[in-house]
Amino acid sequence: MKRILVLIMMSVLLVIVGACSDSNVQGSDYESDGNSVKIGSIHPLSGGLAQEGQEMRDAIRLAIEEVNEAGGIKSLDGAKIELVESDHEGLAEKGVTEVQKLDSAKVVGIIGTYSSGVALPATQEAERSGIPFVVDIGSADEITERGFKYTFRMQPPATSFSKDFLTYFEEINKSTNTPLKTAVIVHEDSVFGSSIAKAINEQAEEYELEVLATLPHSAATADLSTTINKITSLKPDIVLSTTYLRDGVMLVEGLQNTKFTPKAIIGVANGAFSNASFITDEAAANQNLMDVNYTINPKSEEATKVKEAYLEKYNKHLGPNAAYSYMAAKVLIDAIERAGSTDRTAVMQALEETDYTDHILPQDTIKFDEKGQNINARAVLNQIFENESKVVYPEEYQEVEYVYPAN
Amino acid sequence: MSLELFLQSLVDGLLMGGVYGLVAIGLTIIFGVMKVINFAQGALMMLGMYVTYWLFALLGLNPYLSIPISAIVLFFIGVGIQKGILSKMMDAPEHNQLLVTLGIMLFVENFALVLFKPDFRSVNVDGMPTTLSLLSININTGKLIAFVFAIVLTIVLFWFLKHTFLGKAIRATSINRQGAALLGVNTNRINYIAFGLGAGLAAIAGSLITPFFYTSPDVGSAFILKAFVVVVLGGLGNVLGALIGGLVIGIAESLGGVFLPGSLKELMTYLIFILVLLFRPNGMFGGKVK
Repeated sequence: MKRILVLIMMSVLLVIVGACSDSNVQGSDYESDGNSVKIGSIHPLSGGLAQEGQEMRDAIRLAIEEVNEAGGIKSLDGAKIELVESDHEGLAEKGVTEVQKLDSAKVVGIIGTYSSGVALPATQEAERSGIPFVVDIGSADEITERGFKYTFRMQPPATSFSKDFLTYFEEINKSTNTPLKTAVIVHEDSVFGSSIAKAINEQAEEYELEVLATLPHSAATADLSTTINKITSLKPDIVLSTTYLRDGVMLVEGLQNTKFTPKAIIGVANGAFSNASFITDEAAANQNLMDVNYTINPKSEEATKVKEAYLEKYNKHLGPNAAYSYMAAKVLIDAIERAGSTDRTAVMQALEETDYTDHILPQDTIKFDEKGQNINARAVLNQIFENESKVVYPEEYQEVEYVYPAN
Repeated sequence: MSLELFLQSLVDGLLMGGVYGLVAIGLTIIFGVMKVINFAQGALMMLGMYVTYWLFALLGLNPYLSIPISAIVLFFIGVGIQKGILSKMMDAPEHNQLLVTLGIMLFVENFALVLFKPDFRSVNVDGMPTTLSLLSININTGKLIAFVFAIVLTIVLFWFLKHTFLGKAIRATSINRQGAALLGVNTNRINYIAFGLGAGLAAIAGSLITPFFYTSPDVGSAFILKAFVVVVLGGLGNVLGALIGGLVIGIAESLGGVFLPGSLKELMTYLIFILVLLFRPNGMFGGKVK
């Protein structure tokens, strides 16, 4: 009996370990033949953020495939890039252990993490081990505020989102005869939502926006009715929302089920409003939602090609998250190419000198400041029309005219 | 604060409490009979949601009509888990049983992730309005139906445990396993039925949740922790207690959200949990399956 028990325990443990490390150290499609360069990807491939994480991982796979098919890294005799994928499940503590695993897998650089809460400890661990870390998505300001040498970020940081939102708000508010004045901020309560909400609160007054209330919630909550009840009793002109996917959908659907319709629902770096599956979801009748967010440059021809390749390969639309992951991979590979070496310090120094022009983001060239922040990164104002999210502001990237106030 | 906001929150809390109670009922039965803390309950609920989702997506079946199907499918999965895995562990120390159910949870969730992808999937019931208005209070139809089901299900279970032979055998086993066995109750069989019943109830909860909550492999985690609190609150193994415990948590959370600033409403659940553990460690009503 005892032996059977041990056997069962062992197999269960194996299952647990297997389930957790499912994709931890998995090679890419390319055989390692000694002449390859490993880079690591660390995203939430399981857990509540798995959908976003897997989309981002796929984009990195695409970028690597393109480089490999075009002959690999030329300065390293055509070395092929090999992707080591790891899964942080949205858990901060896993972020650290996964970086350690990638370290022992001898990756030259790491791309990650989508969640700010994971990016903070993960980049710290990477800094300690001296591994270049390109943060594709992760908005908390602190990520690049700690004087790290090995951390670089593609995405605009949280405070710049709120700044971008407020400037766009001021501009488009001028263009209407019925300017909007009051807002309620709804945000998820981890460092991501909280930092954006805090930044808006601090500056709102300068832009003549009155914040009636700030309502945080846990992204994992099963119920948002209290938040919705508070909104309907305050009756703000604008509902500002920084959420992840599930809670964002709950908020919008919940609001639609009440008699109160805000004049505008505007996301700030909203994880739902820019999510491909939310935008095309029939259940979310979501006409004219706005979102100040990082996205793809709609006017870039290069972007159209990437979108098509992504759609063909994975049968899903390239979302903004995935686009940033794609560019993060390209930027890291570009640095390895220029470094001509797999030495991590050399790659870090090459990253510092990045000047990437031929990209798919709505910004000037990709360059990092001394803190590692992509200096030209900016958010744009998107609006959802009939199952498609279009850039409406600023004008240089505008696809269509905005509708404001939306209701 | 306006009266309207108060009433609205009260109604929302009550309805959500019914849903929490619903999720907790299966858990409390499994614990009551087998003394096994089933971490996999949320994962089993998730499977029930997927049964409902796929019947809807592939055959267009109304989610409420798929309740018996998902309940039966999960009943047999539950029996299978009990027969194949847990029955071999019944004499093992409790923490080992805990690890096994945790393992099952991880396995089932990751299995679903591989099989169904992490996509969020939703089900719309044709012709059913999402909200009803009553005296300027909005009532979510899906939650209302789940709430009514929770009450009906509790009454049916209560009656079943009290008045049928099988029910009495289950109660006997939960009170004194050896005594029940001596009197001719096949306690192994009772274990299969109890776990199957628990899994089936999880599936019913899942089916009732699909019309108003997104289905995804990790959906169980949004409910399972609350379900544990509810079970302890209502008294381990007490079916009626689970429903009332659910209502208490639902209302506390909802009103907590109105009165407390920020995310402190999450605190309410655990505050109540700690208070109950301190002052009434056997739950609000104490005791076993009654």
